[in-house]
Amino acid sequence: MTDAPDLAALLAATARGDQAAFARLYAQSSPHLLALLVRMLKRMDWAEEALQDCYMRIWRRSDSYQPDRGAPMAWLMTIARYRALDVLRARRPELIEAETPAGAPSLLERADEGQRPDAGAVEQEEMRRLGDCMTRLSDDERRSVLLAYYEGYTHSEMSARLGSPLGTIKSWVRRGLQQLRDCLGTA
Amino acid sequence: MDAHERQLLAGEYVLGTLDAAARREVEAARDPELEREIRRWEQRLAPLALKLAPIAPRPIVWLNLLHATGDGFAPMRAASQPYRWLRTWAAVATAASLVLGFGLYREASRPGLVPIVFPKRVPAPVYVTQLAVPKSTMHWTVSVSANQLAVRAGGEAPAAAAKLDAELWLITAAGPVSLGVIPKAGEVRRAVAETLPFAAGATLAVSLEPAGGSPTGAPTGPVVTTATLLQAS
Repeated sequence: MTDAPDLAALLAATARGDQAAFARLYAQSSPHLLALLVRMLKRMDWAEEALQDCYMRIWRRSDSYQPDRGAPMAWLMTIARYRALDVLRARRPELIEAETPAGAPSLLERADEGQRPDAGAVEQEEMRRLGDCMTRLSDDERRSVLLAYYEGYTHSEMSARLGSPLGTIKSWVRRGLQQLRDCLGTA
Repeated sequence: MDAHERQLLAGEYVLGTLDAAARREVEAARDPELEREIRRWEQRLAPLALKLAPIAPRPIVWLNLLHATGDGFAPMRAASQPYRWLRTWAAVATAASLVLGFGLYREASRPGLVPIVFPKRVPAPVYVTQLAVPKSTMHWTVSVSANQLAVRAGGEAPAAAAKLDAELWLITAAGPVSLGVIPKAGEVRRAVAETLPFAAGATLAVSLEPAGGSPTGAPTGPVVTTATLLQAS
């Protein structure tokens, strides 16, 4: 992973229509966006199509990135995640359900996995902080937040998957979010 | 809506757990405070995405983007279209490589037409391949033997890549090793390090780089094509 100032500079140059900068931005960030898209969409063809859509958006709207919107990589990931959610909402009925059953240990293990050696120092620190805060959540709360994040489930889909009442799911998600917010602060 | 409720609603919106009606309500609210909370949650949760192991997209994705952004063409929308097309291309490319390999083999067996001069007593193996850029006529024919590299460019480079240089890489167990910038037209022959692990089945790749080639010694631009080396003799 690259340092944030580098990506920010590439985004700024891309906004001026600089194709070489766009090419470097793509080369540096697309493997991370694709990882998230594959995780959420499960199918490589959908993930690559979504990836293409994301970079079309980035090319056309790259001027809308402002440094005060936070880390550029997080901004790029947000574009990918909203795109994946749109695809899931449109195509969920077609989606062959995940190999990993909801709430199976593998999901939680994956989410708790070690830090990535290729991440920049700032990202490492952010991952560590979020990981620490995640451990404060109850198992139910953590599972609900992670299922929503990685699988894109709505409250009702999660309720069907986990076999728990809708109200219970909603409060797990809310308590989970509340604790994360308290733990991470207002930044 | 109080501050506490706003924070949680923003979190649910970013997670994506809200149903369609509630989601539209958030989007229609045009509440700057709510939007700020949404931005904060996006940043807070992004580390969950960053901890996933990166996956390199196939070259076709970048090629589609290059067309879409450079030539003003609409990107390919139909999900199955690029992939069906890619399969066809892959089959054609494989066939082309085989024909080429056979052709070079025959060439190499005829003295005087050998593309590269080899030491006579210990003939080094010749490896060949063709690197074709999808959705364009651009391709490179590569042959390599011992420390001699020959590259011939054919077809026309995509207009969108006009300002970029093409750089050739050998993918080794230790990562990509640069074989230098290659022309988009004409031919180049040059010596490369003798210790490079050229072998049948080894992968070559071409990436687009700023003028003069990658400033870092590793590919910084997108890979536009890859191919495996075939042994011609």
